[in-house]
Amino acid sequence: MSHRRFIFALVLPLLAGTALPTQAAPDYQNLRNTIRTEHIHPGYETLSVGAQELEHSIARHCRSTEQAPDRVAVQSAFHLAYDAWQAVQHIRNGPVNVEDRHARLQFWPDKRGITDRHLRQLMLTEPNRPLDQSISDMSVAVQGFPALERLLFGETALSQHAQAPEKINRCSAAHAIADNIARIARTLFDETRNATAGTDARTETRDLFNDLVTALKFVSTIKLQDPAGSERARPFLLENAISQRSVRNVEINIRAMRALYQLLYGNADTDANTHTLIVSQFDVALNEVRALGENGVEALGQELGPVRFRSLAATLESLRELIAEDLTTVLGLSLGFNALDGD
Amino acid sequence: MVIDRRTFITALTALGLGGMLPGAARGETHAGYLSTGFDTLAKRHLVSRLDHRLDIVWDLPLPARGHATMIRPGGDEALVVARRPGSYAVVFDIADGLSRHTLTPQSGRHFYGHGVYSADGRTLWMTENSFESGDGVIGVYDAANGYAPTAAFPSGGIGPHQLALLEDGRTLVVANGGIRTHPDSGRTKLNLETMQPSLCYINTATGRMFEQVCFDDPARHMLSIRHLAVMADGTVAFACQDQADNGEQMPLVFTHRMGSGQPFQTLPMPGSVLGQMAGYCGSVTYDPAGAVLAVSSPRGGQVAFWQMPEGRWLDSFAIPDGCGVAEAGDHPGFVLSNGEGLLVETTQGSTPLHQQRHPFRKWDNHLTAI
Repeated sequence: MSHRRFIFALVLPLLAGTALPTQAAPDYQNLRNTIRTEHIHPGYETLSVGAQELEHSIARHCRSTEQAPDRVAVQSAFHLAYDAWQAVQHIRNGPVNVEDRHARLQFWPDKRGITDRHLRQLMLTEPNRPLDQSISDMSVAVQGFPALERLLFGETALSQHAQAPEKINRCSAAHAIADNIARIARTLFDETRNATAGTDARTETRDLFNDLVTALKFVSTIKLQDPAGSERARPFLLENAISQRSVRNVEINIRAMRALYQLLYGNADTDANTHTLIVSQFDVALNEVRALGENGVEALGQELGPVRFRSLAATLESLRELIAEDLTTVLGLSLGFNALDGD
Repeated sequence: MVIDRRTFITALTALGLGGMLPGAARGETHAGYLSTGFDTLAKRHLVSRLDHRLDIVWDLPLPARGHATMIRPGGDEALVVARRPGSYAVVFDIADGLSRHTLTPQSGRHFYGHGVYSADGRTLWMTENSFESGDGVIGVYDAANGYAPTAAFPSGGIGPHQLALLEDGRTLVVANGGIRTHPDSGRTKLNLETMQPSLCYINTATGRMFEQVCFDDPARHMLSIRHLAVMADGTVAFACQDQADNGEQMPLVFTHRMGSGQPFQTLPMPGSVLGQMAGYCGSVTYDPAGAVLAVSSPRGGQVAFWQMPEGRWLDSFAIPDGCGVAEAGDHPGFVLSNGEGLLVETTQGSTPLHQQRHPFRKWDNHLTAI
């Protein structure tokens, strides 16, 4: 990195970090309650309903008397539930931060191939109690969507008969995982029902601000930049390459992050120029992501694929810087980790 | 549900993005650094080892936010102390990041962020707060005997924070910040009006105080002395956090020598840099040669440098939310860390030599060279 770029990289966040609040602090209680009732709770409700549907769909599929029923119905149920997950994936504080729920729903990124390894171990081991009861005590990597994706979209059929050398049939494994997902989703829904209870509203607002900024970084770095690579595309790093929905995820993420940004900004009237710029940058990002389709492997395989991935990543990165600066002012909250420590 | 250690480490490693499993240490040409930090994806407080290229070697999850780490001389282990008021300190293996002991404070006391080992590594002294009386305490632990608590003596003031051993190996210097807290009110400062920060020199053999030095100017009684470093000639450099929220610009960095009979000496710095520091300093470190002093200010996004021993102002380096400062291992200069996951190698105030950013990490207050 050149000296000039380095200074630039240091100065931008510096400006963001030192911007002084210029308006009265917002009503955090009100803001927090609105975000819970309009964003978090409905998000978990959709996830809970979708996960339950997915579980039913797998049960129906596995009861079917046909020799090898096709998996279209279970796959589309997976997509619906997973759309709902991608819409709340950016929330990393609150009930989802208890008992490793976030990682249990989606253990990813997984550069070391742990999901494949642990799932293989699971399938090869004779269970000493029913999987439905024991799955939540097993490796987080086999408890959630990525493991289920492999069972529903992999080459082996979803059947009630174990295929040697596997000791577990794929129907029971898929059902146990779907049931686990549904239980976690239901818990998240239940635990966010009460909009006024819980931690203090200012802290929760700052956590949400933090989650938004982290999510922008996560999508731009892990979902886009890493698979695009610097010299050569690395499609094996894409999220959900197996179900061919890597870019669809990113589109849902951008919509969800835009919604959270709008709620955090609320009715503030300061810094209207930055706000307008942010809203229009979200539109730019959405146009860019739509142009890529849904399937990341396909999009990345095109000649301009990696360039477009990097371009979208850059749009999200600039959004992150703008939002960090804008919301620091609007919310009267700073994200400074050491600056706020008092030691 | 039960999450076993293996599952836990696995989850942590995959989410830590770049972290490696314990035991997989690499880059052994230089031992690297230790830092406390926070993983923003897994939402966990950690202590991490970094190699000489500033890549993460391993992460050890902590029960609550950590503060400082210290290396046990002559051993293969180190200690991480909880953020004040702390209820744990963990001794761990430097090579693989596995914990060996967890220390908990004696009844009625809290750990207060820092500790220091004796030169032979056999004894550990920790700053502690006896919360009912509000007295600062130095807890003494027998590191050679499973860290059994052996004694305690007064720190010479309220709210002791960082402490260091002078070159004589017998004298502790303690920064008594002057601020009282109580578990009933968390980190709330209970005595700002009457606070009396001090620097105390204590004989480790007897636990008696040789000398207690306070600010001679009463207008400075709200400069809480928090962090310090000792040069080979016994000069103590220390940095303060101004608790008076009155807009008045106070000097923040001083030096002192035990037995000199002199009051605290202010280290000069440009008014513009002092203004940026917003009354708040973080870490204090000398480079290995003792020729340059570095003091960070996370609120100012600055690390300031002085030529020592003469105390001549050199320059400052801009790093937003920068707090951790360690001597660089294989060249003159320093490694700086910040709350945005950045690590930078630099000489005093000039061009960065090397940097590494860990996007989902917040590096906490202190960075230590191994």
